[in-house]
Amino acid sequence: MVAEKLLILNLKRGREEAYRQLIEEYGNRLLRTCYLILKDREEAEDVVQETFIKVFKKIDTFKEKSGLYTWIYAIALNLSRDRMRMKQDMLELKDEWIGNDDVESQVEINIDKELLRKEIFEMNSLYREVLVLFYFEALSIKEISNLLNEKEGTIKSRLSRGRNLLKESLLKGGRKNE
Amino acid sequence: MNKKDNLSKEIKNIMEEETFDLTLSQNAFDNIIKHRKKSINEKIREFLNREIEIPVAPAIVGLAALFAVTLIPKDVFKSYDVKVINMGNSHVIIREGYEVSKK
Repeated sequence: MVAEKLLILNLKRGREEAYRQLIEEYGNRLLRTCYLILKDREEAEDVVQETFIKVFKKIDTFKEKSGLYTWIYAIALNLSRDRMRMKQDMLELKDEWIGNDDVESQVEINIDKELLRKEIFEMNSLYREVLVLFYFEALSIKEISNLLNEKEGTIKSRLSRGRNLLKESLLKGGRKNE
Repeated sequence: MNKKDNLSKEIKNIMEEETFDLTLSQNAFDNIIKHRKKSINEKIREFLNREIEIPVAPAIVGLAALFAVTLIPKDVFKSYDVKVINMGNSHVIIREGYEVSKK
């Protein structure tokens, strides 16, 4: 925490080593998350660049109400969403709360990994975004809800529906457990 | 929401496998650093180290003009029509023009 405060201070002072430290610390992590959401390496790298440039410009306005990485993350996610909207990859969804969020308990299946991989990258990015944040970034529902500025119920619903979609695909293409 | 079931584990594994060798390119890194906010010291240093191009002809003309304005006496080109009348040991000087001194 102290280290982060020092980093923020040095960023505000314009120290080059602080900028380098920030990119080295968060650059690859951010790139990986953006890649999983955008499905495109070059676009993900563009988003990461834009994110850091924006962070550098706005660092003086950062009030430290959230963690530095959360703030950077929110910027990157907004930029990713803008890109997805441009590609019309992000369809507007009517979020509905589905009562049972543990779809795995309903049917046990052998997971066809390649099929699952394909389905993850082909699903609507609105669902994939939440899955990436929940599983890859290991964020809690609350953290995701703060980050995306959505209600916790909406996030739960998207997560559940995303999982259900994957599950259905696996059931159609995969083998049932005996 | 469960993170420990099979599906969750597989989703996480796939995401990690897909991205484990993904790193920011040096080009992107340099490009980001290029856009960073600069400290005041750096801004001053940059200003002092900056290269400027001065076209020779206008520079010479400008210097010559400056030289003319500052070094050449202001009345050097003035020609006075002066008449001198000798009256014994003294003489009277008559000029056609006159100047009002600034005080």
